[in-house]
Amino acid sequence: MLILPYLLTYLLITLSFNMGQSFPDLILILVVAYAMLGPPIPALGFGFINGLLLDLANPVGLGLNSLLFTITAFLALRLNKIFFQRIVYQYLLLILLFTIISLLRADPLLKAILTILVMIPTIYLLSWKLTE
Amino acid sequence: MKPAIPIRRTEEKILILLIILSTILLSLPSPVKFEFANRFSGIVLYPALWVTGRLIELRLLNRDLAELDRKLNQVLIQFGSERLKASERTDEKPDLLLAYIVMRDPKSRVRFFTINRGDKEGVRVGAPAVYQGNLIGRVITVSSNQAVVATILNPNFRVSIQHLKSGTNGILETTPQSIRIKYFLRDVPIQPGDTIVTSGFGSFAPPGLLVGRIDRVEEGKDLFFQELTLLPFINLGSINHLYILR
Repeated sequence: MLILPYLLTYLLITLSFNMGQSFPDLILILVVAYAMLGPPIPALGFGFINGLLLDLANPVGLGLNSLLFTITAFLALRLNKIFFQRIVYQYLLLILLFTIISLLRADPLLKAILTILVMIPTIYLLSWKLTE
Repeated sequence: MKPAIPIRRTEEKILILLIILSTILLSLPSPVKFEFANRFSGIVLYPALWVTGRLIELRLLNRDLAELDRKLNQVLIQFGSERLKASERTDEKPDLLLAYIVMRDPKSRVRFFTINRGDKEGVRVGAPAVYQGNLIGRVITVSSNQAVVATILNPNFRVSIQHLKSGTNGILETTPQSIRIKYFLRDVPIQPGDTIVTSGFGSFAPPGLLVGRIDRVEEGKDLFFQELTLLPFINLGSINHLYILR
């Protein structure tokens, strides 16, 4: 169960290497999803390691992705209540927060928008699944 | 003075630890960052880098193959044209445009092809579509980004042809049942398996393109002409790209 997300990470990193900028940030979404579904402490480590893997691929900002992904994972862990309650404005604030994180990673706007477009239904579906 | 809020939860402790680690990494000088990444990315990212390398290799090979295929098609068309008019040798290379078949007609799948090239790339109505020196069809409609090619298997397709051995001309006409050759003189000796090429007379297609081989030769009722049936060399159901002769 712990290995599967890492296998997914490698798959998504390979995809992101080959798909260019017109591709949503699926690794960020994976980190959020894992933080929502998985155990809390491994989720933080997962965020950090995912960020570090991306940093190794682009060493100019080494540490930036690991920092942002760790914070993202922690926020997703802490804000799980919002996912459960599905309060619309809080939910939208959260999406906005993830957009800012995506933009902080120096992603182009198109990529950030695509990420959000995938992030919204994913989080919604996950929160629905969790409340079942 | 308020007492400091103690960090109770393990998550928070780990978060702070990871943030400190990330900040240390972030504050490293650039040469150290590159050294660190060089040392570890080859090991940690090996699967992703290996797959990416193979994909880039395949992409480059594909590009080279496409270029070779285009050159082969050019030479085949040139060769076909020179075969018919050996005296008029020319070094002029035909202008070919690679086009991928993006859709086929739903019923037969071999009568109409929609290709991914159109007006913007210089495709015109009536332009011949070729593949490995063979005539595939002609463009019948063009929009800005795509075009429709009616193949030689499409009923009512017509082109002037020539029997390669004897040089006798005729007209190829496709019917729903078969590809027939009309107006081919009765006294000309012709055998099943003989090659038929385009003649280039009053036609959209240049001379020398391969059309097919004779399948059946029948005497017929006509006093002057034979009844011939033809089969194309190329399996139109299997090709995924073709060239438009501009």
